[in-house]
Amino acid sequence: MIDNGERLREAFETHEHLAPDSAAVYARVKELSRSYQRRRWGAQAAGGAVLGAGLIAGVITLPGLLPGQPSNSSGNMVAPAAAPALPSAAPPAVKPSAPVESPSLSPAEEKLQKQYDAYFNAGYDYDDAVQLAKLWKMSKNDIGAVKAAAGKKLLAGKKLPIKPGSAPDAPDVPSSKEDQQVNAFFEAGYDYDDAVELAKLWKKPTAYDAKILGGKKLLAGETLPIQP
Amino acid sequence: MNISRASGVLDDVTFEQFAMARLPSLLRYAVVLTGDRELAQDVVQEVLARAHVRWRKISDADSPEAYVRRMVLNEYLSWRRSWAARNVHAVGERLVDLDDARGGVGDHAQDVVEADELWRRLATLGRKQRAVLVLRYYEQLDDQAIADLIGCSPATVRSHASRALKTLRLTSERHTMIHAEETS
Repeated sequence: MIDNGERLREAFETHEHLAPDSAAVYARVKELSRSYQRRRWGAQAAGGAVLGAGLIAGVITLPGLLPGQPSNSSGNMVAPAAAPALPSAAPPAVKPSAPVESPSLSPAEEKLQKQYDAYFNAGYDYDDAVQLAKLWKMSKNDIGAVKAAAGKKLLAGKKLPIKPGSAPDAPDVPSSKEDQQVNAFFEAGYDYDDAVELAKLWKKPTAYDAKILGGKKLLAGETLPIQP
Repeated sequence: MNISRASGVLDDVTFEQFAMARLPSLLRYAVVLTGDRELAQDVVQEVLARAHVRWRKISDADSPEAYVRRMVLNEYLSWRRSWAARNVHAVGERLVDLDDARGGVGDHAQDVVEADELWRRLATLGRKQRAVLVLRYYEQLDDQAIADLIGCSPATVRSHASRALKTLRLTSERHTMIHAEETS
């Protein structure tokens, strides 16, 4: 008889093949990271500009406050203030030490990639696709097809029925009473072997039932017949 | 490519090299963790894009791969919407059908059916419960390491595992087994 750990391992390992294609994911990662990098540079440039403008303003007023300063002092001070903005304006050239081959896509894949790009670049995400699947009565088992369909519409200049990122959050599943009882059992330091022993004492059919009863008693402030 | 720091080659690994070497493994991990191909893709894409931007910091970590795997785990756990909550009923209904349909099949075929069935049952778990099982049985981490990753106590890890196994209907069988897999 195989144990539960082995059964779970087997279930996990026999479904690893469901992993998406690396090349397609990598292409998307590069696209996304470029977008993030642009945003980052934009933020840095904006921050640098504000900082630079502030310091330049300070420099302009400084000579008036400090009479007798050399006339070239403002030039010397402006340079460091402006310096932080410079790297932002010119993105560093990325030269990987090993050449990275871009995955070659077939025309159909390229078309699909463009649809995906249009979808994600418009700010839509996975949750939105789930919402769209519901609205369009498409299968939730193929969310990729929903993203592609949405991307196609966006490329055609059409609007989608929901705003990007607007899909409602699913409510958190509340912790059940049973969950709280089992949690209390373990939090008190008891373990599976204790549960087995308690199940025998209490004539419960399974160790799990003992965990529930044990947790219930602990939550009620009672002590259990055995120490953890 | 060996990307372990112990190997001494890590300092030279660029993000591109890391991604090319480890992406398949990350995707397998993500699909096991999420139980969903599309969600796995979204999670890994999101994580790697962020990792790319912060690669200098990540490459300084003791184990960049462990760092990125943790990012994948956190991304999955904090995903805005619960995949399990959306699918629990549909999967549960399918499971009943599967249980009914099971019958006299050969050993190997039976193993495959059981693995598929268990995979579907896993989809009914909450994210943390599933993550605990993946970390314990797929990543083969101990409860303390899992607790550190998830940000809870080892007792809570055991609690998640216990409830998950109960939901998967594995506990009653285990009760009759000599060696309990759950070591808690």
